[in-house]
Amino acid sequence: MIQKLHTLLGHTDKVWSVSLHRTLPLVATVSSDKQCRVYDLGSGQLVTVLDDTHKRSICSVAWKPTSALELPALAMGSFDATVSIWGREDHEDTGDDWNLLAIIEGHENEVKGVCWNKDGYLLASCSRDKSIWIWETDESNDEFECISVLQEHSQDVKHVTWHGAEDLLASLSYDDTVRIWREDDDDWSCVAVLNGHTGTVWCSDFEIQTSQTARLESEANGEANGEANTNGVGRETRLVSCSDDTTVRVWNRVAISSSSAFRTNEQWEQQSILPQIHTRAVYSVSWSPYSPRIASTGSDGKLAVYRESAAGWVVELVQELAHGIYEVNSVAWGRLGELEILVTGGDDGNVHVWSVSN
Amino acid sequence: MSDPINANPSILDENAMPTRAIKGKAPVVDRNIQELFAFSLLHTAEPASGNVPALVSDTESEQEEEDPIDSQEIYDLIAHISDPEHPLSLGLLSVINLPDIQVHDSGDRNSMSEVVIRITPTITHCSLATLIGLGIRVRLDRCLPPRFRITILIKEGTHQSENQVNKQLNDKERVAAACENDQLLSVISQMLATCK
Amino acid sequence: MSATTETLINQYLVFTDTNEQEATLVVARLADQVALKQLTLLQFIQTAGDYLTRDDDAIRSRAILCLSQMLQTLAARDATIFSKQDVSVLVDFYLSKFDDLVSHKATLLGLSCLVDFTRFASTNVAKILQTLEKEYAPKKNLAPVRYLAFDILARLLAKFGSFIARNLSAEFATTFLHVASGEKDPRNLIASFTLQEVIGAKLGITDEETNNELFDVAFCYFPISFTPPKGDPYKITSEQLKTALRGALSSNTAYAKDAFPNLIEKLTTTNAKVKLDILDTLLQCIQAYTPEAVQLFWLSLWNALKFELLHNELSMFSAEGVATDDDETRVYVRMFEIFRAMAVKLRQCLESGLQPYLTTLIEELLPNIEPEHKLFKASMLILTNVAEASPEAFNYIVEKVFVRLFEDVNDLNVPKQRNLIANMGFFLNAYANLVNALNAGEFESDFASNALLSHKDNILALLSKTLMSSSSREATLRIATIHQLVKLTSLPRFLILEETSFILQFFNEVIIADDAAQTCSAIIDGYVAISRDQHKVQLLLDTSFPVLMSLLPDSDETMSPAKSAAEILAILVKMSTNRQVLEMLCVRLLNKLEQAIDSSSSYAYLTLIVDSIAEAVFTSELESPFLTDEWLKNLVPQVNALVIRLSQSGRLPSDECYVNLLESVGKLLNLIYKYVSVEKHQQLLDELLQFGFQTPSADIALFKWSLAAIDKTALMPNSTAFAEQLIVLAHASDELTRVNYLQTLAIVVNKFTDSGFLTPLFAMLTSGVAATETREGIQSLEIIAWITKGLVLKNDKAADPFLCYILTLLETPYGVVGSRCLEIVICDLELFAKPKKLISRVVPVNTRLLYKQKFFESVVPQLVEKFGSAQEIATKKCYLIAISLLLKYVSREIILPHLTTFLPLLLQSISLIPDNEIRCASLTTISLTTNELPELVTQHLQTLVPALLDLSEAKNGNSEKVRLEALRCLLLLPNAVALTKIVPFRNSVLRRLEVAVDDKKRAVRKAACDARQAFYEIS
Repeated sequence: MIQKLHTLLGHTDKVWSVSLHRTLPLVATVSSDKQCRVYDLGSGQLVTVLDDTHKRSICSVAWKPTSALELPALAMGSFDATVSIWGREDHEDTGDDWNLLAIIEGHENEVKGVCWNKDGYLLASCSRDKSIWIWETDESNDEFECISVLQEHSQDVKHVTWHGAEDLLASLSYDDTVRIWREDDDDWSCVAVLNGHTGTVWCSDFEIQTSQTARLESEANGEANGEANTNGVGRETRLVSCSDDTTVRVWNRVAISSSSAFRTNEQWEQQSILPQIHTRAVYSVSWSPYSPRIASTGSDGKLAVYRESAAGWVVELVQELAHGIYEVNSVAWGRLGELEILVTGGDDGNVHVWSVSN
Repeated sequence: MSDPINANPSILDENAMPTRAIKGKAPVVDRNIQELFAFSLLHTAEPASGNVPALVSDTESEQEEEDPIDSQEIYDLIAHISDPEHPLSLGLLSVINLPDIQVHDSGDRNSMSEVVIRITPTITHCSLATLIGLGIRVRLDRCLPPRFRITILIKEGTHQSENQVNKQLNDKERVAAACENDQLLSVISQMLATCK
Repeated sequence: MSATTETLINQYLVFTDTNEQEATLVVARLADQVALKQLTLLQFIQTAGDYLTRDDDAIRSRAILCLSQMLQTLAARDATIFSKQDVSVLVDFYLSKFDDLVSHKATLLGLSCLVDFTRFASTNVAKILQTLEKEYAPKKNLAPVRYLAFDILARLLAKFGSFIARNLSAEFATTFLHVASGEKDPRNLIASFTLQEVIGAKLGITDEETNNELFDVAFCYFPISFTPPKGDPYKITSEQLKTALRGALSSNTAYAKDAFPNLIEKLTTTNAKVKLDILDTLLQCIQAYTPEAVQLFWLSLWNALKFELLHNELSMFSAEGVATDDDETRVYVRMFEIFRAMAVKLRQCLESGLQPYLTTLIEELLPNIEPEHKLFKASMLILTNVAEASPEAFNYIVEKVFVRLFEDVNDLNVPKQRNLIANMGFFLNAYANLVNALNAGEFESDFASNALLSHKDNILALLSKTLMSSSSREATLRIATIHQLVKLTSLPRFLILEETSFILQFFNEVIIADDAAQTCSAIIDGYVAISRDQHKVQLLLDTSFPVLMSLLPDSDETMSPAKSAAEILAILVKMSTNRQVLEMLCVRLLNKLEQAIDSSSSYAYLTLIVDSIAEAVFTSELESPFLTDEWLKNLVPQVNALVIRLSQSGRLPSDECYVNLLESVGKLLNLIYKYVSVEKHQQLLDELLQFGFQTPSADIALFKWSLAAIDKTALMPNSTAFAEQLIVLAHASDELTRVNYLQTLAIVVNKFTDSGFLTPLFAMLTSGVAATETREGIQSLEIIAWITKGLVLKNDKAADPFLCYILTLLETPYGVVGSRCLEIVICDLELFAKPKKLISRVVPVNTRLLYKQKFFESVVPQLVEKFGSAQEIATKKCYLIAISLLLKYVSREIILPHLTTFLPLLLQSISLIPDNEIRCASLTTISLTTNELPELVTQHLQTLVPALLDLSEAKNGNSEKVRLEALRCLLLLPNAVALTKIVPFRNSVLRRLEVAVDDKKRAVRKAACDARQAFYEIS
C-alpha cells in the first residue's frame, strides 16, 4: 500500500533527479531551474538551496556516502558540462552552512550522470561526449584528480552507478548497452557488456547486500533452496536497468574469469524481465536496500513497485499519475525511522515523498 | 549557407493546404430585428426590481460545447512553420501532411494524451530532418497543454537513417539540452515566426 | 559730360564686393546716362580711361568690371544702342586685356554681354575664338570665371550657329576643347555638356580626330556619381549632371564607334544605380544615332545584355504587370526597352537592318520556349518586348514562337499549363500595346491580318479547354486562365462579339460549379471588366445575366443545388457596377420579388432580394453617383405596390420577419430618396405625409426610413402635433413598432420641429417616472431618450435638461435603464448616418460636425468622477456600463485624453464586473489604450496582467468572447511595452497560459498559443 507523505515544493521547472543521503534524513533534488534544493526528509522543511553556479539545467545529483558523523557532501552534474561539489561546513562563528567546495571541468558537453563509489573516495561522471571520467578525492572534497577516462560507449552515456559493496561501476548509454567496469592493477577496464535492451538505457541500480540477507532470511522461514551463505562471496551480484523500450530488466553476474594475465572479465546474463507495467520510456529505477523490492517510474507517470518472491518478480503496487499529467524523471528508496519510503521527482517541478508499507 | 540540400522541391498550390470548413455564419437576414430589439428598453429590462440584467452564472462557460483537439488543429499549428532552407512552409513542401498526424485525446484534463506526427523529408538524405523535428516539437510544447506527450517520427521509408533520426527526435534529455542552446533557439524562432 | 559720371565711377571704385547693391545702383545710373545719350561710350572711356589702364590691380579690374556691368545692363535695356564699330572697338579692348589675369572675370563678362548687342558682327567671332584658345587659361581661373568662358561660347553658338557651322566649326571645336578640358565644377560641367550637345548635333563635325577628342572630353566623366554639397547655391542634382552628359554623348552619331564599346565594357558594374545610368545612356544613344550606327553594334549590345536577363528569375514581372519598382526592376525594364529601341531603329535601315536582329533573337531564344524550361519566362519577356516594336517584328516573332508553343499543347501537366498560360499573357500585352500605338491607317495597312489573329483559335481553344477541364482545386491555374480570357476580350480589334459571348458562357458554367472563392471573384472581375466596355454590355446582359437570373428560384423550395440564392445574388450585385446593368438588375429583381411573393416564399428570401437591390444601388452610387429622379416614376411605385401586395397576402404584421422585411424595403427607399435632387424633396415630404397615421401599423418602418432621407430644409406643417401623435401611436403599439415610432419622433425632433414644445413635454414625461422602476416609467424614459438623441445630434441647447435627467437616473433603481438611455442617445444608427456630400445636394440629417465630441467632453468626466466615488457595487457598475457603452461609439481621439484617469479605475474594478458585455467593453478599452498609450499601460502592468490572465480562463462565467479578447490584449503587450518592463512577467504568464491553451474552445486555444509564442520570444 502506498501513501503520499509530503510534497516538497519550490522548483520552478522540471525536476531531473533526486538523491537520498545513506544515513542522514536528507534529500537533494536538482532541476532545469539551475538549482539544487536540499530538504529534511522527516519534516519536509527546506534545508538549503544551492544555486548561482551552473549556467544550464542540472540533471543529476548524488550524496557522498559519508557516515552520520561526517559532514554531508554531494555532487551534481549539469548540461553546462561541469560537475560541482558542495558540502556543509561548521564554522564555530557562522554556524554551519553549505558552500561550493569544487567545480570539476573536463567533459566536452552536457554531463548526464554523477555517482560516488561505496566509500566516497571515487566519483564517476558521464556525458554526451560518450566518455566516463573517474575522479579520486579525499574527505576535504576540494581536490579532484582524474584517474581514468573510459571511452568505449559509442554514444551519449546517460547514467553511471556504483555497486554498494564492490568497486564495480555500471554505465548506461544511448547505444542501448550497459557496460560493467572494474579496476585491474590501477587501470579501469570494461569487464562486461550487457546487451538486451532495444532502446536507450536510462537508469540502473545495483542490488545491495543487506536486501539479499533479508531475502534469504524470508526464504529461510519458507523452504530455502540455496544454502544460506552470508559471507557475501558466493552471494549473487545483481543489477536492475530500465530503458526507452519500456522494459525493466534484472541482470546477474554468473562468473568472474581472469583468463588472460591482464584482463579479468565477467559473464553477466539477463536474469529476468520484470512484469510489463510501463507503456512509455522508463526513466528511473531503484533497488530497495531494505526489502527485496524494486521501484520504477517514467514517461507514463506510473510509479511501480515489484517484489521478488520465490516464484520470481511480482508487481506489488502501481501508483498511476504519480505526478499528475506530468512525466516522472526520478525515483529513490529511503527510510524514515522504520518506515520505508520512496521519493519521486517530475516534470511538474514537484518532489513527492511516499510511504510504502512492507 | 552551402548550396541548398534540395534545390527545387515540388511545391503545393497555396489553396490546396487542408483547412477547416468554417461553420455557417448566423443568417444575416434578421439583422434589422436585432437592431430594433437592441434599442427597445422594454425588450430586456424586466419591470421587476432593478436587478442586474442577465447576471452571468458560473455555469455559462460550462454549457459551451467542447471543440476537441483534432489533427486539423495540430496541422494548422505546425503547417506554417517555415523550412530552414526555403522561404516556404512545411505544409507547402508537404513535409507535414494532415493524414500523417494522429491525436489520441480523451478530453479528460487529468489524463495524459498523445500526438504522433510523421514527417516526410523532402529528400531521403535530408540532414535538416532533426532540426525540422525539433522546430515542430518546440512549437507544440508551447501550444499544447502539458498533458500531451508528443512523438515525432520520420514517415516509414522516407529517410535513409530513419531509426537514428527517430531516436534523436524523441530523446527527452537531448531535446531539453537543445532547447537551451541559444544559437539553435534563434534558428527555431525564425522558423516559427511564419506561424499564422 | 556731367561731373556726375566721374563721381559715379569714383563711387563705384570705392565700393568693394561687400556692398554689391550700391555698386549695381551706380552702374544702372551710368547705363541711364549712356542710354539717354547724355554720355557717349567714348566719353566714358576717357573718364574711366586712366583707371582702366591703372597698374594698381584692384582699381583697374574694378574699372573694367564697371564697364562690363554697364554693358550688361545696357544690353538688357536696348541692344541696338551701339553701332557695329562701337561693338568691335569694345571687343578689341577686351581681347587686349587677356594678359591681365586679375581682371579676367570682368573681361569675360564684358565679352559675353557684347555678343548680345544686335550689331555684334560675325567678324568678331573668329577673333574671340582665337583669343580664348590662345590666351585664356582655364586652370588659372576660379569656377565662376571659367563659367563665363562657357557662357561666351554658348552665346556665340546660339547667335551664329549656322555661320560657325559653315566656316569655323573646326576652330570652335578646338576652342571648346581648350576651355572644357579638366573642368571639375558641377555647374560648369553642365554648361560644358549642354554646349557639347549643341556642337555634336549642329556643327556636323566630321573630322574623326576632333570627334574622338570631343567624345573623350565628355566620356572621361562617365559614369557620374555626384552627391550635392550642402548649401550649394545652384542646387545642382546628380540627375541633372547625368542627363546633360547623356545628351552630350548621344548628340553625334560619329561618337557611336567609341560610345557603344565603352558603355558595354562598363556594364559589368554590380551597382544597380550605375548600371541604370549606363543603360539609360545606351537607350538614348540608340534612339539618337543613325540606324546604320546601331546596325554595327546591335549584336554586341545583345550579347552584353542577354546573360543578366536570362539568368535571373524576373519574379517581379507577370502578365498582370510589374510587382515592384526598385532599382533592380528598373534595370531589367530598361534592358527590355533597349531591345525594343534597337528593333525600332533597325527597321529604318536602308537594307535589311531588322531581319538579322530578329533571326538572331529567334535562333537563340526559341529553344527555351517550353513551359518547363528554366529560361522560358525570361525569353518570353524579351521576345514580347521586341515584338511591340513594329508590326513586322510582332508578326515574325509570334509566328515562330506560337508554332512552337502549340506543338504539344494537349499533353501538358498542370504546372506546365500554369507556366504556359501565365507567360502567354505577355504576348497579349504586347499586342494591346502595339495596336494602341498604331493609328487606324497603320493598323489597316500593315496589321489587319497579324500573326496573333491567325493563332486566335489555338489560343481560345487552349484557354477554354484548360479552364473547363481543370479541377477546382487547381485555383491558381484557373485564375490565371480566367485573367488571360478576360484580357482577350479587352484586346482592341481581336475578338469578335460572338467569341466574347463564348467566353462569357464558359464563365457562367464555371462560376456556378466552382466553389473556390478566389476563382469566382476572378470571374466576377471579368464580368465587371466586360461591362465597362459599352459595346459588350449588351452581350453581358444577353448571355451571363439571364443564366444567373434563371438560377434564382421563385421561392425557397426550388433552391438551385450548386450555388445558394445568396451567392447568386452576390455575384449579380458585384457585376452590376455599370448603370445599364444596374437598372436591368433592379427591374428583373423586382419581378422576381413579385413572383416570390405570389409563390409565398419565406420572408428571408424576400428580404435577401430587397437587400441585394439596395446593395447594388449603393455600390453603384459609390463608384459613380447618379440622380434617381426618374426612378420616382417607375421603380418606387413598383416597390410600394409590392408592399401593398405583401400586406394583402395575409401576412401577420406583428410577425418579426415581416417587420424585418419592411426595414429592408425602408432602407431601399431611403437610399433612392437620398439621391433624388433636393429641389424635389419638399413635394416628396408632402406626399409622404399623406401616409395614414390614425392607427399604429408596422408600415411605419417605410415612412420612418423615407422621412430619414428627406432634406433637412424641407418644411413639415404642424410638426409639433405630428410629434405628439407619434407618441400616442407609440404607446398603442407593440414593442418593435413602438421603437419605429420613437425613431420617427427622433427624426422629426431633429429636422422638423423647433424646441419650443419640448419644455411642457419634458415636465409631463418626467412626472410619469415613479420612484421604483415601473413599465410606465420606462416608457417615459424611452421617449426622453429618443427626443434627446434628436436634439443632441444638432447640438440643441434644449437637450441639456433631458441629458442631466438621464445622468441622475444612474444612481436610482433605473440605473441600468439610465445607462441604456445614454446608449440610445450616443449610438451610431444608419438612420441618422450623415453621408458625405451627395450628388443630389441632399443633407438628410440635421447634425453638427463635433456633436459627439461636445457630448463626450461634457458627460464622460462626470461619469468617471462619479464612478470613482460611488460606494456600492451596483451603482459603480452602472457608471462603468455607461462609460463602456460610450467608449464603443466614440472615436479614439476623443477618448484618449480621458483614459489616463479612467484606466486605473477600470483596472481596480475589472474583477468586480459580473457581466460579459461590460467585460468585453472594458477589454476593448484596454486594447485601445495599449495601442495608443503604451506608457500609461506600462505603469499599471501589476494589476493589468493578472486581471487579463484571470479573464483568459473559463471561470467566473467568462464567455468565450471575453477569454478571446483578454488573450488578444495579452498578445499586444510584448511589443507595446518596453522589454525591461514586460520581462518580469514572462515566466508567470507562460505558466498561467497553460490553462487557456487547454480551453474548451478552439479559437481561445489559438489566441493562447499566439500569446504564449509572443511571450516566449521575449528574450
